Amino acid sequence: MRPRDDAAETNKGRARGPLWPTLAALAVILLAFVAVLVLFNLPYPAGLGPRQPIPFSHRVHAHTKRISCLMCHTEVARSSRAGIPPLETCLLCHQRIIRTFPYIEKLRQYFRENRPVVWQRVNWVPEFVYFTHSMHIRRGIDCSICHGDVERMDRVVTAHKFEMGFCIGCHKRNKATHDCFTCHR
Amino acid sequence: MPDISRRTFLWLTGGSSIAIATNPPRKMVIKLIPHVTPLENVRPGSWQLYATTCRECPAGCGMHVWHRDGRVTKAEGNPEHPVNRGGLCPRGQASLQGLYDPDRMQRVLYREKGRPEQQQSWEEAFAAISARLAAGGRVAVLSSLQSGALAEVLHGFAAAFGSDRVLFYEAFNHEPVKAAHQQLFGRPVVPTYHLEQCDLIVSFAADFLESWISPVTFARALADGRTYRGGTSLSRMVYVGPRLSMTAANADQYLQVPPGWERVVAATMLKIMLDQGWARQDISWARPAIEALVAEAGPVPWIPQDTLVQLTREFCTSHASVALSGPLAATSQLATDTALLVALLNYGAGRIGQTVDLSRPHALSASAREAELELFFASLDRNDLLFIYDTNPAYSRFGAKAQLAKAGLVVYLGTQVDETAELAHWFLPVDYPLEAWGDYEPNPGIHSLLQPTLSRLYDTRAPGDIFLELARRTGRPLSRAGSGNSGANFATWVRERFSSLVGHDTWDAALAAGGDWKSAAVPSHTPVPVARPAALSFAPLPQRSRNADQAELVLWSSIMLYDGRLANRGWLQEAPDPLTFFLWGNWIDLHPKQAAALGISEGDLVELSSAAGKLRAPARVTAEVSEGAVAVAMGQGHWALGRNARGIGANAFALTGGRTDGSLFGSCRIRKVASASPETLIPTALSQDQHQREILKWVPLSKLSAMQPGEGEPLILPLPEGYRPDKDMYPKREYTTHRWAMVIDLQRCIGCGACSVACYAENNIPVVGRQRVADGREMAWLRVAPYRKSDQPGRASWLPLLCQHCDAAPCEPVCPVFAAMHNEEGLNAQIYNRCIGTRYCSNNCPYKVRRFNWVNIRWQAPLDLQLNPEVTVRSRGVMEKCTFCVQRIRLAEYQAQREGRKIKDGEIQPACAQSCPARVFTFGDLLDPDARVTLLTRLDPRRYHLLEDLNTKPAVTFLRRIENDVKG
Repeated sequence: MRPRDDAAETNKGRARGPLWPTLAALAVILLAFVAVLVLFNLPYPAGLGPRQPIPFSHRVHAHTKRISCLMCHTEVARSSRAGIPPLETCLLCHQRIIRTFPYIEKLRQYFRENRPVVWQRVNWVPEFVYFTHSMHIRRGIDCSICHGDVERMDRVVTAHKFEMGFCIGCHKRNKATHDCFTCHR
Repeated sequence: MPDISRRTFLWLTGGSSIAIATNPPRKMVIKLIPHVTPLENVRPGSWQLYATTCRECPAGCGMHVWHRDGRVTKAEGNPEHPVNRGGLCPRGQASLQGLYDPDRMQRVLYREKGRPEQQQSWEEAFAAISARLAAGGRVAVLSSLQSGALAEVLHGFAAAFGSDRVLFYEAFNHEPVKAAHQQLFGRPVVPTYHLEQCDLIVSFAADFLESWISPVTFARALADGRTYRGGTSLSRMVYVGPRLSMTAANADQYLQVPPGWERVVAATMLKIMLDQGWARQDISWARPAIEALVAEAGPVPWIPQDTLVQLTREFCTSHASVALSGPLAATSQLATDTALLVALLNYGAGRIGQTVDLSRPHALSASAREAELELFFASLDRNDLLFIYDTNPAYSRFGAKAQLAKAGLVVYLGTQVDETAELAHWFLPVDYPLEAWGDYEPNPGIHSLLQPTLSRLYDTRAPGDIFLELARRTGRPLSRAGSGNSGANFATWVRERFSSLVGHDTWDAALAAGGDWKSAAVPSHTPVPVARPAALSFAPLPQRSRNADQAELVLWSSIMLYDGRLANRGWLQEAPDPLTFFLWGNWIDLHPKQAAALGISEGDLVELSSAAGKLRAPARVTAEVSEGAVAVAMGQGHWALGRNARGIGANAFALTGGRTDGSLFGSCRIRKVASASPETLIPTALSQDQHQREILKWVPLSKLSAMQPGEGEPLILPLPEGYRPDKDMYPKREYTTHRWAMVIDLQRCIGCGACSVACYAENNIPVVGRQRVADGREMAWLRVAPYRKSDQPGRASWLPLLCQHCDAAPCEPVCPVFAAMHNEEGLNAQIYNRCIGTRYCSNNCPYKVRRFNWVNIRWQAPLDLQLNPEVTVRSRGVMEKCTFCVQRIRLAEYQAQREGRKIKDGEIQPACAQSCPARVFTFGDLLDPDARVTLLTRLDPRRYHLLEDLNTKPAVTFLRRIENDVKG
């Protein structure tokens, strides 16, 4: 609040002063506003993950457009991996809709050149851990329990650190197996 | 504390604080690369199985290759394939190491005489070679044994240039067998032997369980024949030969004779057959020659006459029997005599047409004969354009090196720079069989297909395509007879050939199955051939030298390395020899009497010199080789091929090819070079004597046949019922879902070690190398240790030993960090990320099946592509051991859960059980009352636990080996 008071006093003293203090004051106000937004995590309530080659927004697709996770992550119910969709899946829709948006144009360019998009990995478990998506999905464990509120993420971010405590805690609560050989082999 | 200067102090602290501050990221994959367009039937992160055909030896077994995310990680037997019916030998397992061999050739090379080799492009190679072809070079083609489309292309290629010089060179070409059948029946063939029906198999130095024709087929047939199913009849096997091989040790009776005396035994048997009137076919015309040989030799001094009479009677009167002739690499007159007399035995006893099928010649019949090879090599000159595909005469044939140098231009097509490739002008890298289309017919009617199981690793081409391209460029395009499709590539050729033989609409189904073999199941109705009476004459007995330093040579083929083409594979070099348990190298077997006369003791460096050449290797002093003979294994001693093969062992082929002086392989001089060889013999089983510990148990058939199911030793089962409060220190274990267990039938085990190699492949077990094995740091989770039968020399049995997954496991309570844990399904789990490497568990394990990682093993690229993604790669300081292939258990459990059903008995096969050619292992759930494993564990009278008195309650039950003491 202090900078604003100072600015007011200065204005009273000199009717026509230079413009820059006003601008400086506005800038400070703006900064403060942004700081508050960031401090209370208002623009990205679910966090912001690493920059991806194509700014695919899970929020738009899964929340606004209400597309099911399984539409793209097709393997999740039958394999240990959820599966990263092939480029072809994107073009199922974007061959017809929003074709000219620059990044979608880039996507179509990749497809024409038969070049894969190299995504940054966000969620991972160490190499001595063998997690099976299909078994968890079958037991009715929702994606969000581990992956957080993906529907509100623009750039997907790690919602939980996948350490053993996280896994075991959930297994304990759900009275699931504690067999070491379930995940380690 | 040493003085530390200010400068050093600042350097250390500065460096470490920078290291901490920058926090180098973990070495891990942080990129996700999806497909652009998904592949058909390929799902990322899931396994796909491709059916193809093994081309590591001429047997032609069917394989299923596990493919995951663009790479293949495991080869196993195709259960539907008629040749191997699910088993796969160590050589087939190791085909992946051939594919991913770090020494594989990746580029076209050109080498002019006296100049360093230079890299060239395919375009340059094709242009240069086709120019030579167009200029009128005479074409000659030498290839490994091929049948089907590639054979057609090779013949067509040569014919297009007016040549018929196409030979399939195999070091083991079964020349004597072909010569014998040529002489008797006018058919120079290697017949199909039906061992599965036989009550008696008599092997005359034929190591049919190791490398003779089709070992996996024969192993299964032998194991099936001698499986105990109640009653007193078990098929019997008798081995006559100079050296106790793995096959000989499996025989019910091993009759040791000096090399070349197998034929005298066969002649004596024939004489008995004639004298007793047991012959079913007229062979009386052969009597003079047989009697002359028997008269010259006199009674066989090493075998009582009664034994031979008994054997002959059994051979003639049993329901079905067969005699087989060897040894493998012998081409001398003595070997032909043996083959001839053996063929007469089969004919006389009426076995031709019954167990010996001449109407279905094995593919090996097409391998080049000795006379053809001699002519071929002798006729090479400056005008010749010699194409060599995937065969290595410079290594395995006497004099071939000099003869090859006479050819004007040598083009080598292959995957490795072997000894022959080093002599070539052009080296064209070709696809590995796992990367290529192709077909192979081991027997008539078995159309076995090869398909790419992954995309090419390097810029290589299919050998068929190279020949087609060269013909096209020279203006003489090839087309398959009847198709008229001259623009075809080799893959189309394969398909056209298959369609014309089997039908057009069966391609997809055949590709999924691995081929088509419906017509092979139809019994042939060709009449039994009648032998052509001819005046036979046999070679005179060789002069046996009285000199102490002279001995007759015996060469044998190692089960792991075959003729040496596989010597660069770490798994095979580190797989122990079944009988001696030596690995990484070969040795000279020397009889104790001769060794004593020459002052040679075990491990001394000995030199053998023959008319052809010489070699040096450490000596093994043993009475398992007959007196006056020395035995060496073939396949080692490469001077090229790759880093694992080069300089390991000695090349036994160097001793062959000169004059044999009327003996089997020729004779040689023995000379002691030094006491203690630099290449010491490294065994990983230190004793083959049980020292009365009765770890491997036998039961006489006479006793066994009187027992009822459920009789025999009561076992303390690894189940709650096995808990005895007065004996047990630890609380009772309860199982709710499964209790995994295994039964190992020692009677079926032939000791080949396929399970052990399969375990290496499946579980990412590192090959540690010669020196570390010598230090006792081998990593095999499963060893098939041989034990000699103490009361019967010349008999051995094998004990496949893996983690016993004990219920009261001694390893578990001693682990301070709970890395050795018992899991809910009875498995004894080792949790690598918990393990801190105290090795207490290993010290406390009575079975000694735990292995410790002493070093970090670097997986030489691209061998790392073979790693199983479902199994952790262990690092230094971690204990590891058999997991019962928990990744396969999980795969099946998850699959069953997804499909909403229970796991079927037999659905889960650990890698060892899957690959076993003899079906030794049974795996299943002890909680399932109907599971085979439960029935065997509870009821089989042969059952026993290893070291049961320790009360460890192992989950692995062994079934005793049977001593067949019932005379037929």
